[in-house]
Amino acid sequence: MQLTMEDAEHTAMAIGAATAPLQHSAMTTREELFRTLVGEHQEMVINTCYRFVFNRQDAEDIAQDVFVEVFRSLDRFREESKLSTWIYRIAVTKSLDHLRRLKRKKRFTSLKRIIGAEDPTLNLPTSARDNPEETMLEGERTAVLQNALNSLPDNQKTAYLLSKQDGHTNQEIADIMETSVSAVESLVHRAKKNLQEKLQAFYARN
Amino acid sequence: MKPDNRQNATEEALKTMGILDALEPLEVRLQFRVRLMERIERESLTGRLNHAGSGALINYRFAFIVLLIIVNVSSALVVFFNTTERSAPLFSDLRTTISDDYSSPTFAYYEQPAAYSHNTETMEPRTP
Repeated sequence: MQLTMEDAEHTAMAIGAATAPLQHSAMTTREELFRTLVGEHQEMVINTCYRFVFNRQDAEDIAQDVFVEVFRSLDRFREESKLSTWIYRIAVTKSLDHLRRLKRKKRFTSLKRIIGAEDPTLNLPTSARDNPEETMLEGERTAVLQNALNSLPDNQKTAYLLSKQDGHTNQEIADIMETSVSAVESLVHRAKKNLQEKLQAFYARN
Repeated sequence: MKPDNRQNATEEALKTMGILDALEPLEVRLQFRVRLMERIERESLTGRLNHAGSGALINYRFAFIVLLIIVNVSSALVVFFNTTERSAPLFSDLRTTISDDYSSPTFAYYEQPAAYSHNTETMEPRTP
């Protein structure tokens, strides 16, 4: 029996019609899985990023990048660690990248700040207080803290900031940083000591 | 440093470090997930999500480096050929230059023309 072109076309269309729901279903399942992931982890991811950048808008932007990366790489996730650990590891990496980019940008915008072209209140954390003076002082103190934190090595900064956030045990931090619990404890201790020394030196000068 | 100053500095440092402990967690805004899903949809349509982020970036960087190399090599070749044209004299100019050099009195062996030099019109030898 010879198949005509019409028969071949009909067969292809039938196959397509049969597999399209499956493909659609696979995509829908992936999207559904992703939505579930976002729902479960969005708060932790945003707050992890917030600890690094002290700015809501930046924290949300970084968190968006994190989840986009998660969506892209979900198929390649090899389950060598927990999914949540993997997501927070991406969040830490993206936050550190953001801080490096800001540092490079700062060299060029420092002049703008000197001449008053940049609004100094742009990157202050949100505060519930109504007193502008208190808000300003708190903003200055936060800026001092941020500068001191950014002068720490990345691993000390990461361990210290994650340790200050509720929801991360030392074991989880060790998993995120791909190191041991004792190493995390050592990093947190050194970070705290260095931070205190830097801040003391700053306040002694000023 | 005075003791008071040091104590003040320590207190201020501890107060500053306490900001992290007092930092209130952010509440997630409803627009966050909406913006995220819009972005995922947009990038899925443009095909950006087909590539791993860093892989695509490496490809763009590689392409840019190759482009830079091509531009630099081309510029170098243009400059080289331009310089070669200016510095290489024409053979006829070279011949004229040499003959001019060697026709000057400095290079003349005799003050007077030699006896055997011919008058080209009469073809008779000249008398010294």
